[in-house]
Amino acid sequence: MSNDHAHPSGNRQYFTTWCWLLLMTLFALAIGYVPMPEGVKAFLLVVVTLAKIGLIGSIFMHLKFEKMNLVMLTFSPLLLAIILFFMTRGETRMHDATHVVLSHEGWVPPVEGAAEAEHAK
Amino acid sequence: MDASVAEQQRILASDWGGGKSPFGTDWAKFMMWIFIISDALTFAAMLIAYGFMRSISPAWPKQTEVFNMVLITFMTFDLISSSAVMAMAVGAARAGDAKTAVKYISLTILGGAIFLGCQVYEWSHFIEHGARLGHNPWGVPQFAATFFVITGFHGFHVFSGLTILAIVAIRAAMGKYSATSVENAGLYWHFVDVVWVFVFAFYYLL
Repeated sequence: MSNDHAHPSGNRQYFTTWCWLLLMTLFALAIGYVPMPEGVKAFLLVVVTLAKIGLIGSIFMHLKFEKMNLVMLTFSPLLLAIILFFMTRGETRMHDATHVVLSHEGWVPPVEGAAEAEHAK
Repeated sequence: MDASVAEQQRILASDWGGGKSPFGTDWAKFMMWIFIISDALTFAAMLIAYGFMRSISPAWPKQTEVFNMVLITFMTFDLISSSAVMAMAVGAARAGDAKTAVKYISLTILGGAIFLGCQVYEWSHFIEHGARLGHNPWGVPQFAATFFVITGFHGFHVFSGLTILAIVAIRAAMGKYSATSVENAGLYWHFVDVVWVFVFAFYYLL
């Protein structure tokens, strides 16, 4: 069976998509360097990453021209990732004040029970 | 009886009636999509496992201070560019222009080879500074372990992609190719790019 849907023929759209992807990569890089709360940084990076994936999927992989059945099928790994994330979230230390991203320039690891001691004060 | 035949034809004409592909693709392309989805599930599990290990660790090194981010950004630029060129190769193959398709596929292979070269450099540099699967000088062992496993698995995919592209390019140069085979190789290559976009954001930047 041959494909019965339209495909783009010119390279102009690919070039425009490439420009957008580069811009978003630079934006993501800036997010990585600008000091901000980790939650905000994670949210912004997820948004930028999903936007990039959307562009690559729809234009480069031609999902824009495929049937919705196939498009929905491609979302299943993302759905699994979200389920896995929430399944494991309870076991993590996401809300633990002692969990930090460290700079390897003279960082001292937190003492066990320091958060409880601080809380008791 | 007529009504029954008409009903049968109506069912066959519907998406899930058995008369046509509900996904509107030929079998080879659909199988490539199934493969990509199953592979994406593996990478999704890996990245979630990385996130879990990171969040159960008391501390995690700041990646932007450990890695050469200029190199990582260049690698990202390189892979995105090769993906765009591959999309052009698919367009040329669909238009029946084998010569242009081979030219673009060759450029894609060059981009992939540069990416792999950068990754070899990054790995050797990381190992030279004392990083091993079980320990590293920056903090928890999981930091280096997840780096080696995730980027290694991705690098293996890049290598596989280069092999597939080389085969497709040689066949196209010999005139033994179909637009679908170029498109399928392209789908795989774009998938490799998609995975790197996730790795770049969640391993190197977050």
